[in-house]
Amino acid sequence: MPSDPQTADTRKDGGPELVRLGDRFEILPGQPVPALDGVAGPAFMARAVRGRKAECFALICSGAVPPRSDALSTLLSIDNPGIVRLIDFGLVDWNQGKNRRQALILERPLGRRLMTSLKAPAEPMSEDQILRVVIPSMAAVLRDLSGRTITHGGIRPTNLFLRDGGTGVVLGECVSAPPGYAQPLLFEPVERAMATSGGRGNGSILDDIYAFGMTLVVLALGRNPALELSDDALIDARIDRGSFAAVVGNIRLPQNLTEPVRGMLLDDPKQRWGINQLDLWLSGRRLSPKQGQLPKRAVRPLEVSGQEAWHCRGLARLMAANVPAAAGLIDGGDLDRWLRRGLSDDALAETVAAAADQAAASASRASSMVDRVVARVAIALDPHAPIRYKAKAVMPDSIGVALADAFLRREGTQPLAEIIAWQLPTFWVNVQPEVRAEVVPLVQAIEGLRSLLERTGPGFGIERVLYEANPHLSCLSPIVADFAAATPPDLLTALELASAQKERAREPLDRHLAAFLAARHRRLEDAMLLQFLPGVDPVRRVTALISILGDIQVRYAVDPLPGLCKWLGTMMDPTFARFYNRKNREAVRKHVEKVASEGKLVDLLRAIDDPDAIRRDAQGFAAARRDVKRAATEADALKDKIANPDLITEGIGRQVAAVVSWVLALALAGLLSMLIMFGGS
Amino acid sequence: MASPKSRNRRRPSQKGGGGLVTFLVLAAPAAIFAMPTALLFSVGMIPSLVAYIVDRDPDKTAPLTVAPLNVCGILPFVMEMWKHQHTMQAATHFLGDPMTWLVMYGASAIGWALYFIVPPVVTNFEVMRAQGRIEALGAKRKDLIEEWGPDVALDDEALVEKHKAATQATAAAAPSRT
Repeated sequence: MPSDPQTADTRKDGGPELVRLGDRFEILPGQPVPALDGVAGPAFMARAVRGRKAECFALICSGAVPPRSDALSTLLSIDNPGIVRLIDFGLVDWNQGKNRRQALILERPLGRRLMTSLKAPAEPMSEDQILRVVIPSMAAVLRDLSGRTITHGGIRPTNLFLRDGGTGVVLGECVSAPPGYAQPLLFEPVERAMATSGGRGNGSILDDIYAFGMTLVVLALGRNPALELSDDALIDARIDRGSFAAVVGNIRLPQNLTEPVRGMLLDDPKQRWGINQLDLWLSGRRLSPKQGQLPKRAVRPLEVSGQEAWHCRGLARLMAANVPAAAGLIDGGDLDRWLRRGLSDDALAETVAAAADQAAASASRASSMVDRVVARVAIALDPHAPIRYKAKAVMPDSIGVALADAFLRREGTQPLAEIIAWQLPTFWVNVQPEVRAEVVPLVQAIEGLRSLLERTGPGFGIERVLYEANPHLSCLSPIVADFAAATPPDLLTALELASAQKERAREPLDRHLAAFLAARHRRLEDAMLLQFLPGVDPVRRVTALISILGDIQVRYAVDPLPGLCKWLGTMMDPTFARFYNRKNREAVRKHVEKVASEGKLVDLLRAIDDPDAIRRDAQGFAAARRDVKRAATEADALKDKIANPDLITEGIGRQVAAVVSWVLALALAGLLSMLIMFGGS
Repeated sequence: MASPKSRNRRRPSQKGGGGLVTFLVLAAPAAIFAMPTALLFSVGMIPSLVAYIVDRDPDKTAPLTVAPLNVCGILPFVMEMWKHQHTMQAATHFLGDPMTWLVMYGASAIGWALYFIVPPVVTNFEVMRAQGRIEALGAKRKDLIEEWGPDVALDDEALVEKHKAATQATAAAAPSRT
């Protein structure tokens, strides 16, 4: 369905009038719809080319946010009136063909957003409307999502639209960004709230239910009850008192809402309401209200950098934020004493001590040892919290997205690389109190990433980890970043487009491209990647590159790529230099230019990699060298000879004189004999 | 053309001495039976003998050049004697005639003239020929360099060094893509 050749019609003034997504939809770049802008990019009017009557709009992903490509196919199949429907998606030419963008065609919600901002108060929604309109609609959506084991990750009042004149609500899109990426902390369970935006992971339907519960609170109140609190203060309050108590507190909610909201905002996922409880409640069955279970509180606090921690989760959070002080507590034994005496949890104390010892024993660099020890101790203290390491806080299943986010934001990726290298995700899984079968493949995958990370050559390292951990991520190489190439054939097309740019790179190859090809083009052998190492013969380098790209062109039947071929041609000077003979060199150069203009990489490879021609040229060169050497030797001998003419005179000169004398004498003697014999007296 | 070293190695006593003895052994009996001819040759070949003595070249090119024409100068008188009367009287008659001396020694003078004139001419010819050949070789070398590049004129060691340096330079100039 996606990624057919796209075209852009152009107005007379040069601006694009419409951009086509295949022959299915037309996007109108001149008609933006700011009210529907998404996390990943702006919205524009769109229309179906034929047949479809429903209004739709297009979200054009700017490429600044990691895409949620892995869920696109699933979301495409959802046809629920309670959620904005994804109709189509694919790459389109954008910015008058200068870029390519991922376009998401979505059904346009006809009503307004329930709230336009969480910072500005709005009219509270009536209890009746919430109970009759919002909850049933959303329950159906959540049920649908749950059945497809997919999370929305964007349930909040500002992403809800009224429909049918207020008789229903529509949940906004969730396809343009990873789950929870743009979600305010208020709408995330406390564990996910502690993670950075790109590090929240896929989550589960329970996380959506939590967000829905908090959405009901905000809708019922018509305002954000935690508006005055900073993010950190909100998380601290939720850790200390539980999310419901911290956010709702003494505020009176409509009576009928209290029970479901309390159930949906329980911090313990095992206690939190699920779809079944929500359905039961909707069917009229009233459940006994549950009280949130607060974390075990110590008899005395432990002070970290002037702040007191009364329980493990708070302590882990403080330690992760104050690594040097935390290291002091661990080394000085204060943490151990607090766990044993203050919290009376000897088992946890043992686990924490083992975590610290393991980290210290295997740390290869003193500089990162402290960070590593503290990260492990924080995980041991709060196993459900994200991995917190050097200002990064990521769930183990979100390392790929976090890495993509770091690359897109041009942030440092070293902490994430170290998280993988130090096996923190494995440790996180090992210290989980309950066995979770679904994390076993995750651990195996991350161990695989670690082995790729340890190899530093082109096609490996952190870039390879990026593309292996994000199977649908487009290539982030600066060379093709504007063209959203997510597959090998897309990459070739992107390189062809990039070849026409004035400020193009010197060669169509960098670490990102090598890693992308290695991750996406499975036929690529490691030996080929070795040709991209610094110091390798430039001829082997360009030959390997053309070979790889040519294989993709043939395998995926990509259209001719004359621009890319010519670009590669600029790298071929060393290849031409293999030919000693000027005429041969010029002939090969002209042949390559001719083949390049036809755009077939395989032919280009044949043109530069003709062993017979190279051998013939080398043989000719050897013969020419022999000729030059012989000529030089002969010329030197002649110069020596004429440098001393007396030798010629004394040698061959005298001999010639003798010969002349003999010839003359013999002739005279013969003549004389005949005269005397026949001439009488 | 013999090199100076080879010429120095060949001493006259080692080569010419044996030949002279052989010549005397064979010529002495002949001279007894052909005394008039021997007399004419003995007197007429003095220029060749002088040439043999004064020439320090081990190849003895001077007598080799003078002797043939010297013999030609004697030959008419000897044949005249053989035709009419081969007597000592006839021999002395010829020796008493200045024309005989003029012819015999004039012929040897022509031999000396050849000895002195021909070598410079040959030298000039050889030098001109060598210069032409050097120019032709230079042109051929230039053509080869033009066709195959300057590397074709490098020796093996220099060629390997140049290739090594070129590879290193290209690798160093490669972008930091990896």
